[in-house]
Amino acid sequence: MPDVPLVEMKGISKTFGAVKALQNVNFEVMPAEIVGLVGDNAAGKSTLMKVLSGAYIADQGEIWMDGKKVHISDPVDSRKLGIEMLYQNFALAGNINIYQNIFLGRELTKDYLGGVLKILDKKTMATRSVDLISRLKIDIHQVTKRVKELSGGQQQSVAIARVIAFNARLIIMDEPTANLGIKEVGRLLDLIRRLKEEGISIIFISHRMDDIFSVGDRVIVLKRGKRVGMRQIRDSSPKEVVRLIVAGELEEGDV
Amino acid sequence: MKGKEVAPGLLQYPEKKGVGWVRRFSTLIGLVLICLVLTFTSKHFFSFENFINVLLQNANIAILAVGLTLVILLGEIDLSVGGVEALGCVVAAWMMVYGGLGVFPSILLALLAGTLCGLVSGFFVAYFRFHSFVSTLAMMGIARGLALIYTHGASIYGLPDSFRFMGQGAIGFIPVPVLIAAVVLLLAHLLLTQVRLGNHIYAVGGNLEAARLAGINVGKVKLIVLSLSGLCSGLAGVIMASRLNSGQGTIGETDLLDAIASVIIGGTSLMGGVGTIPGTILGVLIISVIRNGLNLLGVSSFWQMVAIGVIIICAVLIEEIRRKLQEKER
Repeated sequence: MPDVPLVEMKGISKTFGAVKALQNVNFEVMPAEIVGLVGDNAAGKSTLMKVLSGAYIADQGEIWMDGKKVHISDPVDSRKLGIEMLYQNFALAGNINIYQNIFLGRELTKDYLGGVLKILDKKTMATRSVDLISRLKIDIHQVTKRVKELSGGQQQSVAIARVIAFNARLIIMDEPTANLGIKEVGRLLDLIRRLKEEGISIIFISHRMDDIFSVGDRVIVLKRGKRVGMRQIRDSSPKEVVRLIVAGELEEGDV
Repeated sequence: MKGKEVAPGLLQYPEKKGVGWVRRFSTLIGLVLICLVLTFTSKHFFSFENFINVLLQNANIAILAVGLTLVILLGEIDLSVGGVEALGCVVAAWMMVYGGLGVFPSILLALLAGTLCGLVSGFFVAYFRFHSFVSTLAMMGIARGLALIYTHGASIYGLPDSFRFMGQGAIGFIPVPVLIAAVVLLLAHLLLTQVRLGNHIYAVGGNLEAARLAGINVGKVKLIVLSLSGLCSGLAGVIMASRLNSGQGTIGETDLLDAIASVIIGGTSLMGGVGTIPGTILGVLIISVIRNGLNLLGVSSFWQMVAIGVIIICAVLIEEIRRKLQEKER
């Protein structure tokens, strides 16, 4: 494994009123690494990831990328850095078609009149969507289909196509297997492995230990806003991680 | 990248014409049926003059309907179109007659007044989370009230002759207001289909949260769209001033009804996210033809209002039933 993490969060703290959501949390992802992020419901997983994606700003702490300090103050910043978020509810607009969703907010245009008039480049968006979908080996056959006509798994595929469309380096997946059938979960886990092969890092928030142990390289455990443990997947077991989630461990095994 | 393993032939482009066309086609059949009935019940209906007349009389409705289509696509509403139309009409006339301004500056000021009305109601929707129902209802009262204050409840006469061309002139056999409406419709269609803002309008109307997460400035989109609706209303008002050769604060009182009816019949969903300008064109034609037919058949304008109201209810009902059926199919 290379020595410089892709992303390193150092000493992140965040409070909401009297609630200490995150306390001095460290978190790191290596290039092409799949990290499971686990913890019970109020452990701070989502808050930590929202800090990374720019939806929240931390009270304290720093974010480093490729060994350099970066500033992320809104979702646009994080996206520019190649950090993408796959939302649990997919965050797609059902009334518009697949390629429009993939390029939503980042539409490709052709410039006319010296850039005054920007006309949507539908053809390029559609063909690039076709490429993305082929790359993901998703079973969608028509990029002009409206998203609400797709199944849940297909919609998730579109959401994934969207996050990798702009050279994502790190994808944060929030409970990606929560709403899927068994078959679709298998397909998603395959897809996650393929993304890793392409060099993309993934943070995988999940309650399902089996899924994390099936694809993950490492797992990091949060409890009540603190990091309470880290394990290499190959040296650990779901049982041990569950024990960490429930009890934590006194001496933080972090390096 | 290895593996384009999905057979490329399976991925289809360009767009397939889907449900939208079936719906639009059925609306078109409705229009043809109404025309047929009127052709047989009124001897004046089926003539070229009457056709041009219908288009001329409803050019302002078409322009209002364009603004409303954009607003309703966002899932919002603009109740102020009639009031702002009246204000546009009065501002244009007042500036020419009492303001000592030329025709062009007066028109520009009227358009500006309309845009400003939309901007104000849009501002409260975008940044104070007002429901557009509230802010445009208020604007309806404000704009109409200002128009009546300007005119002291009477009409402003004495408009320059050169101003008549806009409302009463014609190029070839096509009246100028109809040409203006056609240009506005075309521009709105291009806006919705060819540029980013159009895409964003559909996305905001379809799933506001998703649009926000995609980095779209939702408030800005709402502000722009309501301003555009104000601009359309102002333009409709200027055309009315030229057609009537006067500024009247009382015009357009039933225009809101007709414009909303047109947009709904044109297939735009009040829930937002679904609708097109070609649909709105059909909707405007249907409402125009019905009004014209009722006029030719000697139905009073009061009963016409009742009829349009009933049509709105029927259109929404049909839409609702269709939606239920589609959900069942799935």
